[in-house]
Amino acid sequence: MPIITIEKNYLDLFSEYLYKNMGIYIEDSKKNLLAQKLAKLMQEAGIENAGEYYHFIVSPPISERQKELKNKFIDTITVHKTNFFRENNHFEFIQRNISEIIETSQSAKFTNELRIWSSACSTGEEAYTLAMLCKEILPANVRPKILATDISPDSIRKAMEGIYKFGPEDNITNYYINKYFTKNGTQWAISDEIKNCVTFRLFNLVEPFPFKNPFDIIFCRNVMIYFDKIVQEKLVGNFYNVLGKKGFLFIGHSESLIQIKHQFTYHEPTVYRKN
Amino acid sequence: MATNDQKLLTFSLGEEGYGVSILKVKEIIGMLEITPVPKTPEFIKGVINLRGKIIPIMDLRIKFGMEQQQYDERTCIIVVEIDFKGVQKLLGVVVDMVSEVVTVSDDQIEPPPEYGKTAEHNFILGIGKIKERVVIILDIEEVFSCEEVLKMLENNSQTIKE
Amino acid sequence: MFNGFSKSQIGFRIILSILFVELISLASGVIMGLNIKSPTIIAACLLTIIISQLIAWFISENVKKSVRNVLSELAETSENLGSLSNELTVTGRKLADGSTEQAASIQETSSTLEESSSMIHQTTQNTKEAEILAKQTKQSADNGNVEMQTMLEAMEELKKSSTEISKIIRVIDEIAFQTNILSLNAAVEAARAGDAGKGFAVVAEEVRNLAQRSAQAAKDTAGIIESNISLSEKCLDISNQVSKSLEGINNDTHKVSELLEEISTASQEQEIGINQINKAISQMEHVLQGNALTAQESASSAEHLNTYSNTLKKIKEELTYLVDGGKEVEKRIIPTISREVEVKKEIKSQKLEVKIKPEIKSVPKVEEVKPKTEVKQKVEPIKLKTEEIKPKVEEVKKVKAEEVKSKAEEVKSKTEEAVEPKAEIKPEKEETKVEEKPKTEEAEKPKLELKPQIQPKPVVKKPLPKDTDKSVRPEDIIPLDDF
Repeated sequence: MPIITIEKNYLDLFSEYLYKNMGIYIEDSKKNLLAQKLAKLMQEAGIENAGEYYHFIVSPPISERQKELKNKFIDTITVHKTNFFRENNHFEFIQRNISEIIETSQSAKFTNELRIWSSACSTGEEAYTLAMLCKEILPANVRPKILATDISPDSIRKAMEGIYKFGPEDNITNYYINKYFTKNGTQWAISDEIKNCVTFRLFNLVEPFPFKNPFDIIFCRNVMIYFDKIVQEKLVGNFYNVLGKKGFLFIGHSESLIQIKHQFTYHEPTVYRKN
Repeated sequence: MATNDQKLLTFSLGEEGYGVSILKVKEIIGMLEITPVPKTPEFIKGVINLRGKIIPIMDLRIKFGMEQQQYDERTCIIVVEIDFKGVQKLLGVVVDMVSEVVTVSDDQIEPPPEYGKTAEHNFILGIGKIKERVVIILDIEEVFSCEEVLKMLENNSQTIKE
Repeated sequence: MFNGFSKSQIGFRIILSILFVELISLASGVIMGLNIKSPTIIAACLLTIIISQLIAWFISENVKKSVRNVLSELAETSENLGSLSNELTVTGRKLADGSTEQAASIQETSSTLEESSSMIHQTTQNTKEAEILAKQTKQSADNGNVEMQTMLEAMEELKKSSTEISKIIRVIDEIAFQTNILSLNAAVEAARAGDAGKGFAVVAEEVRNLAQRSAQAAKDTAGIIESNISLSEKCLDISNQVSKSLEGINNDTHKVSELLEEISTASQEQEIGINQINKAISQMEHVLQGNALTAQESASSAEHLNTYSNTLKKIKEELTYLVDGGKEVEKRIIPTISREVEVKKEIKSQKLEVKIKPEIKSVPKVEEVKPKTEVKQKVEPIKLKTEEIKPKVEEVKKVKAEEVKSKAEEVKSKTEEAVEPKAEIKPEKEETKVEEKPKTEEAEKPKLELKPQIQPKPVVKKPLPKDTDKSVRPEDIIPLDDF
């Protein structure tokens, strides 16, 4: 049986496909890694020819198997690093400033909702963290309405299941575990109370934003590191448009809007605010 | 020209304008060094030597009881001829500034106010109205017809030699 | 174990000797029956046959016992093989999951670092630019200072000449005053001359007008010059202040320049550092991706192993049936086994060819790789063992069949052959047992659920992602309209 090799031109085609369809920019130094991932995917799919696999992924899915493999492709190519209370100072920031956030929120005023969008929720930890935080700090008359989206169907599926294992890298305290989770063997299931605060949807951030109402808070952390400046600028512009007046945008700790054009007002590191 | 025209030399003391018949004026000079003369009234500043003639100098401001002022480049001495016991004598009058020579007709001159016609005030010949301005026309001989000046003239002033 | 093997060996020897005795008795019976036709002899022959049949029965029972022993060994081995492969599956899965998770973490770290790196790079560039600008500013301030000095001198000159002009103007004014007085005197003289002096009076008046205009002009000029002088004095003051400010700017920009140089150096160093970290991280990234892949492979290898252990169990069952039931089923079994072994060989070669293995060699520092390679190596002896067991089982089956048929010649030759593999099996089995121990310890840890594949036919491809929950299909059900 031959070794699975991905020819350079197919590697470039895959890169181009990823950039055009998901905004994921793969620089030349990372193409090796992409090749590794593709080899794994192809082996799992039982496809030896890179061209065949490329067309299989790129063409619109017609069979259930093709759909599954495409999902697997997206899931493997994208990175799903996430934890409960990851980069906790953002949650602390919300806790500190909650009264001002509610005061400036239009939806809190008119529909008694605080609208939050976890725009790359992966397996749901960030969205559930926000939901738990809201349960703790929101006044009784304001309900959290959290939208959580991701590009990977497999991740969304796991997020909707809401079953987790807690490892040493999870920042979650026993207080939250005991209050909002129930033990299920070696795993923990998030409570329905929290689940009901979060709506999970499949959404590709490079597509046009379809939202009807403005958000008060948007989380887009450690996503733009996979995009190039052009896609970042467009995305940040779109975030600005769907945020309400004085709404907050939170980005990852290594990220900054310094190098791109945007309308946000810098609030503190990794926290930006609409005027 | 129908009436009797006369020429006046106008000068000023402070804000007020004064006039004196040009026929009484011998000459106008800038300020010269005045040699004080002891035991004379305050308004007699002293004497000058004008081209060899000793002329007594009177300060009209002091004479009129006005505030004294530092002499400057505008201060002038009007040398007038005074008839003293039939003899023409020269006398220098210090004024703030000489203005001009004007011709006035009688109808431009009004008599001095009646209430001022005391012995002290009969040195005013009339009030002239020249170009919106008021000029007090002085009888310069009368201004200085006092004991001290007469004594001074008798002793120090030189007789004009015609 | 050792004891069991020696027993079965003794069993074989007994079978051989009994068969030999039987042969002799049969032969002697035939000879006797042919040559001596007496009833006594016939009775003796019959007795001999009965005795030999009894002996044969006794021997066959003995053989059955031996085969059962072998079968129980086989059962035990396949049981061990089964649990071992289960453990291997679990370990492999856990390793695969861990590696995938770690790979994701590393990949995110790598991207994060790249972002930091690009920001630091930007900072370096900006600092360098700022440094150049600071130097330019310093130069400009220096130039400004020099120009200011020149201007100060010019101002001083201007002031001096203004003062000169002022003096001249005063002279002009003086002259105008004198002229005025002269004109007045002329007017006085003209007046005294009466009518004769009238013309002269006009001239005197004109002279006086000119004198007054001169005086006015001089006065105006004096005013202008006066303000010029005060302006140039002001200018001098301001210029002095500007000069001082420029001096200050000069000093400050020098400091700024120094600081920027430090920042520039620091951020350059940072950049180099971050780049090195980045390189290391991306190496780790590659290794981890490889690990994830290899771990997954060993998991699936273990799954295949499980299949083989199940096959072994089945063989044992069929053998038991043979021994106890005595029906011919080999035709069904043997092709199954040999096909499976072929498939297994295929898979093995496929596994070995996947390019990840050399990559692990190239980056040996990563600890996690080790269990995987061990697992792979351990798979080998197990495979050997199963391969070795197969001929043995075949032989045993054949012996049984032949014994039933009582074909002495074939049995003899077969038994001679059968001795050979037996000698090999003995140490092999020992070795496998010893090797199992550490594996079992290692396999204690995993708690993951495992899905052993029980189908007799090995599944090479995994067609579906494992945790597909059909009840949740977000891409099918929900549009984003409600937000």
